[in-house]
Amino acid sequence: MSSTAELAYTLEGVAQGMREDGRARLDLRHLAIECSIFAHTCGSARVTLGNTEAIVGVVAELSEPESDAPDAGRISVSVGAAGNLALPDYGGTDAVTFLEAALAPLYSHKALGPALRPLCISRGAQCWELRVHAQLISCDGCPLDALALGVRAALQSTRSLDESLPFDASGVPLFLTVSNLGPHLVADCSAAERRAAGSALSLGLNAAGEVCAVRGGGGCGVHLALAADMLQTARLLCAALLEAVADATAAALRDAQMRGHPYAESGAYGFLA
Amino acid sequence: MCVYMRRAAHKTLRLVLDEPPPVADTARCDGRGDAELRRLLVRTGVLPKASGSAYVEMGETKVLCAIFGPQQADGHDFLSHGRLECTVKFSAFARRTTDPAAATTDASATAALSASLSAALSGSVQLDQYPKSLICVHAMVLQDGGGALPALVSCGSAALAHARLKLYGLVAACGAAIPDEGSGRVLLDPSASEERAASSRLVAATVPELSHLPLLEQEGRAQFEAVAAALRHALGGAATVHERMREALLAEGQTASSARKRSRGGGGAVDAAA
Repeated sequence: MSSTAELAYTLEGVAQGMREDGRARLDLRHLAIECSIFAHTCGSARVTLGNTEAIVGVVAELSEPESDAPDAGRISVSVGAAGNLALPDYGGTDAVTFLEAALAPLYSHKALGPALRPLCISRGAQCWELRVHAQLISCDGCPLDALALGVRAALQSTRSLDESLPFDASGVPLFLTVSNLGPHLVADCSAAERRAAGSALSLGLNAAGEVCAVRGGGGCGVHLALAADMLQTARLLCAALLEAVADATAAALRDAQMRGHPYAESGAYGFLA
Repeated sequence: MCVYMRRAAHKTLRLVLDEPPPVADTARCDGRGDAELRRLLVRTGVLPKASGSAYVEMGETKVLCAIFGPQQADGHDFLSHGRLECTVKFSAFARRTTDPAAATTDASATAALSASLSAALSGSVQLDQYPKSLICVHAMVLQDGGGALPALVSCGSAALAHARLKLYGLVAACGAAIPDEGSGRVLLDPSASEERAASSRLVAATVPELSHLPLLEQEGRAQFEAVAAALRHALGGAATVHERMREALLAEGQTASSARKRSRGGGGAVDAAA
């Protein structure tokens, strides 16, 4: 819990345009992506956004397609977090349930559309289901953003053992969370800033600039006067983040290829070092 | 082979029982305008044993909500503010189909709905006035004709008001659907078939007294301007729902106070308020 003095310090700093780690109000934290780190998964990734870290693994299984989309595959995401992580307070609900429910619409057949078609084996009867599990290792604010980044990187590194799983993950959307500290909008809050923030709005955007998910409210809710600004700011920042992440993921995939897949046989070791 | 044929026949049967798909041009399948809400009914005080209760009908969607509390919270931690626990259940006859494959998605769907409902309602209750207390919100969807989440939020908030809890304001919610990406149309308060056929849908809950949005959820793919237009429409619809909730609560308050006056006056006295 934050004392009133800490909350006042955070709010006054943001009013002057200075955050605790020296960022400007709309700057994101340092982002690091590693791909293809596990030998037994179809795809995996490790993402670090400031001090928030997530490890994601993708496993492919045979399953039945959804009744709404008989000619498309499926992606299901589950979230795991250790009990003592400092997850944000999502207004009276279990944080893991909230994160899973918030991530689910990003990977539905409506959001991904034609990208899921190649995963269908037999229309209405059989398809590939990519089961993604995202484990939050540490949380210092914005776990939703970090998880979405991790899942996207893991899906981009997905390939089955005989490389016959055709899946184009470039259309997978990303989340960006914008909060308001007083009248000012702040992107990518740390946990301390989130405690001082009034509300948070997360926007999911894909590479084509389409909105795939919006999650806002909780606690006292988003003020109507700020809602339009928060949506616009989140949209511009998310578009910039997608470009940056495209470069970072391409570099991570190149590194993975040089390392050799599966990771365990490549001779390199020192995971999490 | 037999299993496959049985499943295929089951799917054909379901198509026959489904509502007709919405007409592509201008009319909606039930003849409403684009910005018209379905028939809306709000009643409070429907469950005599609960601390507060409400029943909301939005078109074909029927939702019942009961409040139990404030009651003592279990656990050993001291809580300086109260806790709101929301549980959403679908009745077994809520949907047209009893697809066994849908049973697994229903569990996660109800968990997600409970999470959204508690996020929407917990900001409207003055929880710091109820330390060490637990307020249980039990909501049941009797029939799901589309727009279950907005109906649940409005019903829960009306039930909280009927339970005479200290609130910051009433939460009213409305949904909107964007049928396809290019047309720029926004359908307010979509029915189930409109939701399924839409490329994107949005639910917004608002507390007009505070100008706050405790819940804003969008899913599906849509252009940013379409989402902004859908949000504006949904807020207008929520204002209408809010008015109806206020009228229902005032009407229920008046009948309750006149019933109290009659019972106090006894037989033979003139009831001046009637």
